[in-house]
Amino acid sequence: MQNQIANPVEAHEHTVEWTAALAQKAVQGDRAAFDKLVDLFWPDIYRMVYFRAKNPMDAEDLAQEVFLRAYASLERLRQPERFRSWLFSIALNLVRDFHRRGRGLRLIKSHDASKEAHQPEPVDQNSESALEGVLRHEFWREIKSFTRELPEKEREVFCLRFLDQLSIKEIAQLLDRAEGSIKSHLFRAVAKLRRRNRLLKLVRGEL
Amino acid sequence: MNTHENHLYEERLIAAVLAEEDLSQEELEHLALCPSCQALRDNIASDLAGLEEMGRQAVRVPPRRFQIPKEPLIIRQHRPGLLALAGSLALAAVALIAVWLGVWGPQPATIPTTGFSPLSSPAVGPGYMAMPPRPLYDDQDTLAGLGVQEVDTFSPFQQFVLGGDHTAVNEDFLDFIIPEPGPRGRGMQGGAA
Repeated sequence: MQNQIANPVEAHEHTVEWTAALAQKAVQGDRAAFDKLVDLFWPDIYRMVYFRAKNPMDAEDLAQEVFLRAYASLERLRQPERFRSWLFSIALNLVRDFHRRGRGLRLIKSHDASKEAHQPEPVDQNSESALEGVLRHEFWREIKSFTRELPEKEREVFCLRFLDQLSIKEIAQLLDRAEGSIKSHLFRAVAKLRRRNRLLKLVRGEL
Repeated sequence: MNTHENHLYEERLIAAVLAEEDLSQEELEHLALCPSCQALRDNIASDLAGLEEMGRQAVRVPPRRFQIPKEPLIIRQHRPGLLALAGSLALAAVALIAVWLGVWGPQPATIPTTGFSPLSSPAVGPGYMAMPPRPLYDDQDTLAGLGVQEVDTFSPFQQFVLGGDHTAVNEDFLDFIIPEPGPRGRGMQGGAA
């Protein structure tokens, strides 16, 4: 259990090896291999962009764009064993572009950013109970409130580790930083998380 | 060993969860033997696992719609260097045109410089005091000396509307700005009218 938390990818060595083998085949032009990679990483990439786009429609468009770009740039993937972090780096760049465009549009429309910041997460009334919806909403509210208080680097690393579930090694590859630097940001963020009683109670199911 | 009252500090316990390889041999040995530190470490691990799980469950992933395109794709890459070069060239071209127009382009119609300045009176605000104030008759003398007619500030149409003789209008206007000293304050009355 603990090892899974510390290094979720390394805990699934077979997945890493399988991914690297598929990526190698995809680089060599095997469409079926890339199709399997899309199946494997679609949920991860969708979640990653959803956390940042905060809109299911945009998240789906962005996730599709990530795979489209990955497919078009496969020949530039030099290390197939790094496919996952490479895919996340494409996603991260697209999300940044998306927010840059969004900022421009907000300037044009004089959109009130504070309204967006407090916009509740969409809740699908048909498929979840009211209690689940409330808890989910509360979870997002607490996560937003917590991450907003973190310095930028700690926030980025925290989200990549616990929301996107990348390993420390993958985060270091993705952000092109030393693992030691990633760890120190992560440890500081987790130490701050330990003081967020409401969020922790929510996570423990005590609320 | 980083300990507090013979136990590991919280930061070391966090390290034990996230990167156990960072712990020293001594810390690992303590952790293996200390139930209190183990409980705290497991508590942190459990919270982080719960956070990951809630994050996973908090997003409902739609079924994949992406299909691999049949044709090979070419994504146009932006080349910042080329873009910057194009921008610089465009700026240089604009600057050259501006310089060319300034030197060779049509010159604006100029009014002969006479040195006459009705605003050079001391009564005018400090913004116009770059030149030392001169009495009006100096300007008139200059005009007479140069043999240049006073420039008419009214267009032919304005002169037609005003009936040709607009001196009274000018005088009233000047009176408003520069009231004549005197017991009746004629200038102020003129201005109010």
